Amino acid sequence: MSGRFRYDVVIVGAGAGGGTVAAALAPLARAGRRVLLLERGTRHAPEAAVFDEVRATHASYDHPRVDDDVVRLATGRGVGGSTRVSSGVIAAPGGRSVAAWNVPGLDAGDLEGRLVRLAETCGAHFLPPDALNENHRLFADGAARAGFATGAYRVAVRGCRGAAVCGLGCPNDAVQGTHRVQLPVAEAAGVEVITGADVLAVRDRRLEVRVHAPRPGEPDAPWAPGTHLVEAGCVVLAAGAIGTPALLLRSGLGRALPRLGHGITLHPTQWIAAEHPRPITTDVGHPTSLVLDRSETDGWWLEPAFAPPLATALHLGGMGPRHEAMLRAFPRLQMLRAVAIDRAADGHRVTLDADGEPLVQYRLTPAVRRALVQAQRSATRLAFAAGAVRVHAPAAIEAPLERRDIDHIDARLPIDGERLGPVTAVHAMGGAAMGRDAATSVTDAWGRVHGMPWLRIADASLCPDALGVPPALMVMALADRVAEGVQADGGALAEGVA
Amino acid sequence: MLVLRMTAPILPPLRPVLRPLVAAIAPLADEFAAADWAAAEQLIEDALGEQPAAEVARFARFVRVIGWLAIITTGRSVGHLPPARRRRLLERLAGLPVPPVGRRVERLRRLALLGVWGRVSARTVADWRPDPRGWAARGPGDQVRRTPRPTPTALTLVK
Repeated sequence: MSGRFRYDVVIVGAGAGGGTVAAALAPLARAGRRVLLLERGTRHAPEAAVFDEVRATHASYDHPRVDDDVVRLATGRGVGGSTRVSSGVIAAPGGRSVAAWNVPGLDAGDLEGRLVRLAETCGAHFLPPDALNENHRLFADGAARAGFATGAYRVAVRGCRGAAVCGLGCPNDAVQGTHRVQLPVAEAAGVEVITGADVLAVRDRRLEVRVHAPRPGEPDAPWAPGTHLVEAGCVVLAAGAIGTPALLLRSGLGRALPRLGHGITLHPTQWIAAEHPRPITTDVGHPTSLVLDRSETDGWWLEPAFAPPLATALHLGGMGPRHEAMLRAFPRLQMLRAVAIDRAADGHRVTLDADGEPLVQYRLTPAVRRALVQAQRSATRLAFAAGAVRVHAPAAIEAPLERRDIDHIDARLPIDGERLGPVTAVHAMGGAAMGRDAATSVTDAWGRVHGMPWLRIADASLCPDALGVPPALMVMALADRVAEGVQADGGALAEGVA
Repeated sequence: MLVLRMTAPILPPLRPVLRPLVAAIAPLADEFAAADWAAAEQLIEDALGEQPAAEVARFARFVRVIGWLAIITTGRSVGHLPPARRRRLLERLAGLPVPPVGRRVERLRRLALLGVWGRVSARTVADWRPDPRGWAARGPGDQVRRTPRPTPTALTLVK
């Protein structure tokens, strides 16, 4: 071991969960307690280089393996985590989601107060109509003509200039992720943030941490490269719905926590591109602030979105001249994203491969396939109603759909067809769910791991089932509760490291 | 996790089969000069370089198998088949009732598209004009189109 450190509280992960815990524990740090945050990624600087898709994607995302490659999964890496590479959508789930979780001690009213406060903290607001691009106007107009009701998301952006590449990291740092809102508060109060720090294992209040030498262009790591031992009174894991279960499994806790890794959900997502006869402003302006919400009734939602050329090429499926013709029509593309709400299922779980890396076992269920195709059908109707001349839907037989197919959309997009096309996911949830006891869950309603009061979880892995909205705000609310529990146990923390 | 392997380049021995397959998947590659191929292959090499060695070996094996399949079924090498026939070969493989083969074709498709459309210069082909100034970098035409007509249903539901 290169070094040995001792802290009152150690937080693992700097995304929605870890950033929120760090900010909420700022009073502890100000009171003299030693609070440390370990982040395996780097501290990204906003830069125009985000327009190099390959480089920006490589710098900002991990791609945990999903067995059989059924879904291409991405999780945010670095300070801010997924909140840095999102469009800043702040959406509160309906009360029914939390009630359906049926977690003893998890009070919907308590969560509601936190959701409201945290949304305000992030500066969530509705964009004024004159800030919306044509992709949004076509979405709203097409939906209205096709008979769909649409709604608006609040977004946490400040100083947005409309560069549109939120998913690669805003070059203007406008997205108010935890890297912009919570972590500066925490660091000003004395919370230490160490980047490039990979937590290999956590056992009995001790963390084995490997600090990497910075990659070219990255700032120097505050700790020397090498393996370090960190002792803590309390450990809060916020490495995400894939990272946290994987870390605990790697630490040998699978036997004590039989539900560890189980119940992972992904929000499987597909993209639809519709060609219009003239250029439209999809690639400029905030990319996602409206929604066609069928989450409660049909298990999916649709939203306008923007993907740069490589991502568009990958997301839409297909190959050859037709596929290329779509890419050459890039300035004329209306883009939509269909998200399915998958349910926690027993066989869907985080495991480890032979190298100790996370491997997600997951299958697209018939219900999810049905939801994705239904969403594509609706997207196709919406796009044609908005004036599109051609629609590229990944599940379509002999894609793309032409205007003459308007009366045959269902036949061209069969619910039980063999073809579905590429599926992506960026909203992993579950894997260390809250619940009553160790036989049925991993933590209690305050994120305390059953049988290990020194160990808490504060990220999307707490969710017992998928939400019907993007999960960032709920993750922050759950993390805020976990931090409150840690503060309440302040005295016990000192005993832990004594 | 990033896995860096200090080994010889993977692609040179695969080129006679891989380049025609890449061009079948992404026809833009038919117009490539040597520098374009170098850039595309570097992106593919980098992506493969992060894969476990066993996965890279499977990829190389799969490309070689396609090369032999072309010869066995058509009597011609992949490079001597017209692009449409190369695509048909890939589509037939993808449609086999053997899921692992379909997944191999999809991985090949992803790598080919990464090489061709991942190059920074490819954005000019797509006419993508990214700029950190966003709206401010656009001309008056786009500025006009920025303001939508009133859309009565747009803001009626709040999620």
